[in-house]
Amino acid sequence: MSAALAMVQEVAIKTPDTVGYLKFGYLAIGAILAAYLVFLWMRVRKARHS
Amino acid sequence: MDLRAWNRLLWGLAVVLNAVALYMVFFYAPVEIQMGAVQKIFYYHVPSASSAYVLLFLAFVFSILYLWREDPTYDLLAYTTAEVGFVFLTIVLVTGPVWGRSAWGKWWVWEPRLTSALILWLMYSAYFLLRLFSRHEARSARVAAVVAIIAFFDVPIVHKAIEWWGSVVHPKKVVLEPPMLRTFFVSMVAVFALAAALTLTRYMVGKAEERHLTGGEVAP
Repeated sequence: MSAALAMVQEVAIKTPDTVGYLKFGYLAIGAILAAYLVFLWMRVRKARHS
Repeated sequence: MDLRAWNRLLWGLAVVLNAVALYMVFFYAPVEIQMGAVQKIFYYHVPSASSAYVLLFLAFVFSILYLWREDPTYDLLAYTTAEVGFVFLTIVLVTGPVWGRSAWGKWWVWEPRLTSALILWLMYSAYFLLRLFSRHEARSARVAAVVAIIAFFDVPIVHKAIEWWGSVVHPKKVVLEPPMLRTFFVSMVAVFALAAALTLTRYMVGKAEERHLTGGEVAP
Protein backbone atom coordinates (compact mmCIF):
# COMPACT_ATOMS: atom_id res chain seq x y z
CA MET A 1 0.00 0.00 0.00
CA SER A 2 2.76 2.46 0.97
CA ALA A 3 4.80 1.45 -2.13
CA ALA A 4 1.78 2.19 -4.34
CA LEU A 5 1.29 5.55 -2.61
CA ALA A 6 4.97 6.42 -3.07
CA MET A 7 4.70 5.58 -6.78
CA VAL A 8 1.58 7.74 -7.12
CA GLN A 9 3.27 10.67 -5.35
CA GLU A 10 6.39 10.30 -7.50
CA VAL A 11 4.34 10.45 -10.71
CA ALA A 12 2.32 13.39 -9.33
CA ILE A 13 5.54 15.38 -8.83
CA LYS A 14 6.47 14.69 -12.47
CA THR A 15 3.16 16.14 -13.72
CA PRO A 16 3.04 19.62 -12.16
CA ASP A 17 0.55 21.23 -14.62
CA THR A 18 -2.34 20.85 -12.23
CA VAL A 19 -3.97 24.14 -13.35
CA GLY A 20 -4.16 22.84 -16.93
CA TYR A 21 -5.93 19.68 -15.79
CA LEU A 22 -8.26 21.75 -13.59
CA LYS A 23 -9.28 23.95 -16.55
CA PHE A 24 -9.69 20.88 -18.75
CA GLY A 25 -11.92 19.26 -16.12
CA TYR A 26 -14.25 22.24 -15.81
CA LEU A 27 -14.35 22.75 -19.60
CA ALA A 28 -15.36 19.08 -19.93
CA ILE A 29 -18.21 19.62 -17.42
CA GLY A 30 -19.38 22.68 -19.40
CA ALA A 31 -19.16 20.77 -22.69
CA ILE A 32 -21.22 17.81 -21.39
CA LEU A 33 -23.95 20.09 -19.97
CA ALA A 34 -24.01 22.24 -23.14
CA ALA A 35 -24.28 19.12 -25.33
CA TYR A 36 -27.20 17.86 -23.23
CA LEU A 37 -29.02 21.23 -23.42
CA VAL A 38 -28.58 21.28 -27.23
CA PHE A 39 -29.96 17.69 -27.33
CA LEU A 40 -33.04 18.79 -25.33
CA TRP A 41 -33.53 21.91 -27.48
CA MET A 42 -33.40 19.78 -30.67
CA ARG A 43 -36.07 17.45 -29.24
CA VAL A 44 -38.32 20.44 -28.45
CA ARG A 45 -37.85 21.76 -32.00
CA LYS A 46 -38.60 18.34 -33.47
CA ALA A 47 -41.80 18.04 -31.40
CA ARG A 48 -42.94 21.51 -32.48
CA HIS A 49 -42.18 21.27 -36.20
CA SER A 50 -42.97 17.67 -37.15
CA MET B 1 -47.59 28.18 -9.88
CA ASP B 2 -47.44 26.15 -13.11
CA LEU B 3 -44.53 24.02 -14.36
CA ARG B 4 -43.13 26.77 -16.64
CA ALA B 5 -42.88 29.19 -13.71
CA TRP B 6 -41.19 26.51 -11.55
CA ASN B 7 -38.80 25.81 -14.41
CA ARG B 8 -37.84 29.49 -14.74
CA LEU B 9 -37.41 29.76 -10.95
CA LEU B 10 -35.20 26.64 -10.80
CA TRP B 11 -33.04 27.80 -13.72
CA GLY B 12 -32.62 31.25 -12.16
CA LEU B 13 -31.60 29.62 -8.87
CA ALA B 14 -29.25 27.18 -10.63
CA VAL B 15 -27.49 29.95 -12.62
CA VAL B 16 -26.99 32.21 -9.57
CA LEU B 17 -25.85 29.36 -7.28
CA ASN B 18 -23.44 27.95 -9.88
CA ALA B 19 -21.95 31.42 -10.51
CA VAL B 20 -21.33 31.76 -6.75
CA ALA B 21 -20.00 28.18 -6.52
CA LEU B 22 -17.56 28.66 -9.44
CA TYR B 23 -16.34 31.94 -7.95
CA MET B 24 -15.69 30.15 -4.63
CA VAL B 25 -13.98 27.19 -6.37
CA PHE B 26 -11.54 29.37 -8.35
CA PHE B 27 -11.01 32.39 -6.07
CA TYR B 28 -11.98 31.48 -2.49
CA ALA B 29 -11.10 27.83 -1.81
CA PRO B 30 -7.40 27.35 -0.99
CA VAL B 31 -5.14 25.18 -3.16
CA GLU B 32 -4.57 21.74 -1.64
CA ILE B 33 -0.86 21.18 -0.87
CA GLN B 34 -0.35 17.61 -2.13
CA MET B 35 -2.42 17.54 -5.33
CA GLY B 36 -2.29 21.23 -6.24
CA ALA B 37 -5.02 23.15 -8.13
CA VAL B 38 -6.48 20.04 -9.79
CA GLN B 39 -7.99 19.01 -6.42
CA LYS B 40 -10.63 21.72 -7.08
CA ILE B 41 -12.31 19.30 -9.53
CA PHE B 42 -13.56 17.69 -6.28
CA TYR B 43 -16.10 20.54 -5.81
CA TYR B 44 -18.10 19.45 -8.88
CA HIS B 45 -16.99 15.80 -9.12
CA VAL B 46 -18.48 14.71 -5.77
CA PRO B 47 -21.76 16.74 -6.01
CA SER B 48 -22.25 15.33 -9.55
CA ALA B 49 -21.88 11.81 -8.11
CA SER B 50 -24.38 12.61 -5.32
CA SER B 51 -26.87 14.06 -7.85
CA ALA B 52 -26.48 10.96 -10.03
CA TYR B 53 -27.13 8.68 -7.02
CA VAL B 54 -30.32 10.58 -6.09
CA LEU B 55 -31.63 10.72 -9.68
CA LEU B 56 -30.92 7.04 -10.33
CA PHE B 57 -32.67 6.19 -7.05
CA LEU B 58 -35.70 8.17 -8.26
CA ALA B 59 -35.54 6.30 -11.60
CA PHE B 60 -35.55 3.04 -9.58
CA VAL B 61 -38.63 4.15 -7.56
CA PHE B 62 -40.56 5.43 -10.62
CA SER B 63 -39.74 2.21 -12.52
CA ILE B 64 -41.24 0.13 -9.69
CA LEU B 65 -44.31 2.42 -9.66
CA TYR B 66 -44.67 2.08 -13.44
CA LEU B 67 -44.55 -1.74 -13.30
CA TRP B 68 -47.08 -1.68 -10.46
CA ARG B 69 -49.56 0.95 -11.71
CA GLU B 70 -48.81 0.97 -15.50
CA ASP B 71 -49.27 4.76 -15.52
CA PRO B 72 -47.25 6.34 -18.41
CA THR B 73 -46.46 9.38 -16.22
CA TYR B 74 -44.31 7.14 -13.98
CA ASP B 75 -42.56 5.83 -17.09
CA LEU B 76 -41.80 9.40 -18.24
CA LEU B 77 -40.57 10.31 -14.74
CA ALA B 78 -38.32 7.21 -14.67
CA TYR B 79 -36.95 7.99 -18.16
CA THR B 80 -36.39 11.67 -17.19
CA THR B 81 -34.56 11.00 -13.92
CA ALA B 82 -32.48 8.18 -15.47
CA GLU B 83 -31.43 10.44 -18.36
CA VAL B 84 -30.38 13.41 -16.18
CA GLY B 85 -28.72 11.00 -13.71
CA PHE B 86 -26.79 9.52 -16.63
CA VAL B 87 -25.56 13.01 -17.62
CA PHE B 88 -24.19 13.57 -14.10
CA LEU B 89 -22.70 10.07 -14.03
CA THR B 90 -20.93 10.92 -17.31
CA ILE B 91 -19.54 14.09 -15.69
CA VAL B 92 -18.20 11.94 -12.82
CA LEU B 93 -16.58 9.46 -15.22
CA VAL B 94 -14.98 12.26 -17.30
CA THR B 95 -13.74 14.50 -14.46
CA GLY B 96 -12.42 11.55 -12.42
CA PRO B 97 -9.78 10.49 -14.98
CA VAL B 98 -8.75 14.16 -15.59
CA TRP B 99 -8.17 14.54 -11.84
CA GLY B 100 -6.54 11.09 -11.67
CA ARG B 101 -4.12 11.80 -14.54
CA SER B 102 -2.80 14.84 -12.69
CA ALA B 103 -2.88 13.44 -9.13
CA TRP B 104 -1.98 9.76 -9.68
CA GLY B 105 -0.27 9.94 -13.09
CA LYS B 106 -2.84 7.65 -14.71
CA TRP B 107 -6.08 8.29 -16.60
CA TRP B 108 -7.66 5.07 -15.37
CA VAL B 109 -7.00 2.46 -12.68
CA TRP B 110 -8.99 -0.79 -12.57
CA GLU B 111 -9.92 -0.46 -8.91
CA PRO B 112 -13.34 -1.31 -7.35
CA ARG B 113 -14.98 2.13 -7.35
CA LEU B 114 -13.95 3.12 -10.89
CA THR B 115 -14.83 -0.31 -12.29
CA SER B 116 -18.26 -0.46 -10.59
CA ALA B 117 -19.00 3.13 -11.73
CA LEU B 118 -18.12 2.20 -15.32
CA ILE B 119 -20.40 -0.89 -15.08
CA LEU B 120 -23.19 1.41 -13.82
CA TRP B 121 -22.67 3.76 -16.80
CA LEU B 122 -22.73 0.80 -19.23
CA MET B 123 -25.95 -0.58 -17.70
CA TYR B 124 -27.72 2.77 -18.13
CA SER B 125 -26.29 2.99 -21.69
CA ALA B 126 -28.12 -0.30 -22.34
CA TYR B 127 -31.28 1.26 -20.84
CA PHE B 128 -31.14 4.18 -23.32
CA LEU B 129 -30.28 1.96 -26.31
CA LEU B 130 -33.31 -0.15 -25.43
CA ARG B 131 -35.57 2.91 -25.29
CA LEU B 132 -34.18 4.53 -28.43
CA PHE B 133 -34.25 1.53 -30.75
CA SER B 134 -37.31 -0.45 -29.67
CA ARG B 135 -40.42 -0.17 -31.86
CA HIS B 136 -42.87 -1.36 -29.21
CA GLU B 137 -43.33 1.57 -26.81
CA ALA B 138 -45.24 -0.18 -24.00
CA ARG B 139 -43.14 -3.36 -24.09
CA SER B 140 -39.83 -1.44 -24.18
CA ALA B 141 -41.05 0.74 -21.27
CA ARG B 142 -41.67 -2.41 -19.18
CA VAL B 143 -38.31 -4.00 -20.08
CA ALA B 144 -36.53 -0.65 -19.50
CA ALA B 145 -38.16 -0.40 -16.06
CA VAL B 146 -36.74 -3.84 -15.17
CA VAL B 147 -33.29 -2.77 -16.45
CA ALA B 148 -33.44 0.46 -14.37
CA ILE B 149 -34.37 -1.54 -11.25
CA ILE B 150 -31.53 -4.05 -11.75
CA ALA B 151 -29.00 -1.32 -12.68
CA PHE B 152 -29.74 0.63 -9.49
CA PHE B 153 -28.35 -2.20 -7.34
CA ASP B 154 -24.89 -1.15 -8.58
CA VAL B 155 -25.27 2.32 -6.97
CA PRO B 156 -24.70 1.15 -3.34
CA ILE B 157 -21.83 -1.04 -4.66
CA VAL B 158 -20.17 2.07 -6.20
CA HIS B 159 -20.74 4.01 -2.98
CA LYS B 160 -19.43 1.29 -0.65
CA ALA B 161 -16.69 -0.09 -2.96
CA ILE B 162 -13.80 1.56 -1.06
CA GLU B 163 -15.12 0.45 2.32
CA TRP B 164 -15.65 -3.15 1.12
CA TRP B 165 -12.60 -3.73 -1.09
CA GLY B 166 -10.25 -0.78 -0.40
CA SER B 167 -8.52 1.45 -2.95
CA VAL B 168 -5.00 2.66 -3.70
CA VAL B 169 -6.28 5.92 -5.21
CA HIS B 170 -9.49 6.93 -3.39
CA PRO B 171 -9.18 7.95 0.29
CA LYS B 172 -11.58 6.34 2.79
CA LYS B 173 -12.24 9.67 4.48
CA VAL B 174 -11.73 13.25 3.27
CA VAL B 175 -10.89 16.00 5.78
CA LEU B 176 -11.53 19.55 4.56
CA GLU B 177 -10.42 22.93 5.91
CA PRO B 178 -13.35 25.31 6.78
CA PRO B 179 -13.07 27.39 3.51
CA MET B 180 -12.97 24.14 1.51
CA LEU B 181 -15.98 22.83 3.42
CA ARG B 182 -17.96 26.03 2.74
CA THR B 183 -17.09 25.86 -0.98
CA PHE B 184 -18.08 22.19 -1.07
CA PHE B 185 -21.44 22.94 0.59
CA VAL B 186 -22.27 25.76 -1.89
CA SER B 187 -21.18 23.56 -4.85
CA MET B 188 -23.37 20.73 -3.58
CA VAL B 189 -26.45 23.01 -3.39
CA ALA B 190 -25.60 24.53 -6.81
CA VAL B 191 -25.25 21.15 -8.55
CA PHE B 192 -28.48 19.87 -6.96
CA ALA B 193 -30.30 23.02 -8.19
CA LEU B 194 -28.89 22.42 -11.69
CA ALA B 195 -29.96 18.77 -11.55
CA ALA B 196 -33.49 19.81 -10.49
CA ALA B 197 -33.72 22.41 -13.30
CA LEU B 198 -32.50 19.91 -15.92
CA THR B 199 -34.92 17.24 -14.64
CA LEU B 200 -37.93 19.56 -14.82
CA THR B 201 -36.91 20.80 -18.30
CA ARG B 202 -36.50 17.20 -19.50
CA TYR B 203 -39.90 16.27 -18.03
CA MET B 204 -41.52 19.20 -19.87
CA VAL B 205 -39.83 18.13 -23.13
CA GLY B 206 -41.26 14.62 -22.60
CA LYS B 207 -44.74 16.07 -22.03
CA ALA B 208 -44.41 18.25 -25.19
CA GLU B 209 -43.47 15.12 -27.19
CA GLU B 210 -46.50 13.25 -25.75
CA ARG B 211 -48.80 16.17 -26.68
CA HIS B 212 -47.43 16.08 -30.23
CA LEU B 213 -47.98 12.30 -30.51
CA THR B 214 -51.51 12.36 -29.05
CA GLY B 215 -52.67 15.62 -30.65
CA GLY B 216 -52.76 17.64 -27.44
CA GLU B 217 -54.77 15.27 -25.20
CA VAL B 218 -52.33 15.09 -22.30
CA ALA B 219 -52.96 16.19 -18.74
CA PRO B 220 -50.47 18.87 -17.53
